Amino acid sequence: MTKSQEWITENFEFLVSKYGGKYIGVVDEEVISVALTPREVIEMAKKMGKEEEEVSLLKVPTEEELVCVL
Amino acid sequence: MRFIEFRYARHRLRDIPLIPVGLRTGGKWKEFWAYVDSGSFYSIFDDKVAEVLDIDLITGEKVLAVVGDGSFIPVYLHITGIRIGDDEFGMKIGFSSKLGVGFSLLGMDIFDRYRVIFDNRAKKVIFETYE
Repeated sequence: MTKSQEWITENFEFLVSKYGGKYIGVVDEEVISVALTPREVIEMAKKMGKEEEEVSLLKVPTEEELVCVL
Repeated sequence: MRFIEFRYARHRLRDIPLIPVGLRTGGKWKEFWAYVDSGSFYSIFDDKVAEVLDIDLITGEKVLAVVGDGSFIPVYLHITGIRIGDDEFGMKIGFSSKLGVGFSLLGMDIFDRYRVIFDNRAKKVIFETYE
């Protein structure tokens, strides 16, 4: 796994508490964009000079969704 | 044989087999995260993922999938490039606007390619190729 992938895994609980219900884009162990759709996340990342291939896109579940799924 | 390993994510002391996968339909790879779900027949992502991959949702093969509350949702299957670790291949991926769960799902169809091991003691999910 890359460092950013490891970071997402390790910080998943924090990500759920802060970004539940949204898509986030992570680059270099940092959340760089947050939106309701992955397209918006990528567009925001591009405006920040990031390549779309380097953006890790996570649909962050809400606390309630985690209770239901798990 | 090759092994591709992913550590579990954790939430409220529970382990979650959430892994990064690359998807593409001719363009550049995009990385999404999906829950490895042995209870799902298909791999299903939401329609917003289809949109960003430039997939015209309803042109795919339509199937119905049962979700947790017992209802059926329409799922459209499209041949999509997928990358797990550094293993790239094509398979039918489902997309739906009615998924209604917090995760995208990697279902049993992925198990045709790998022996999938949920190693709870080591806190990781392992994909072993059949080569």
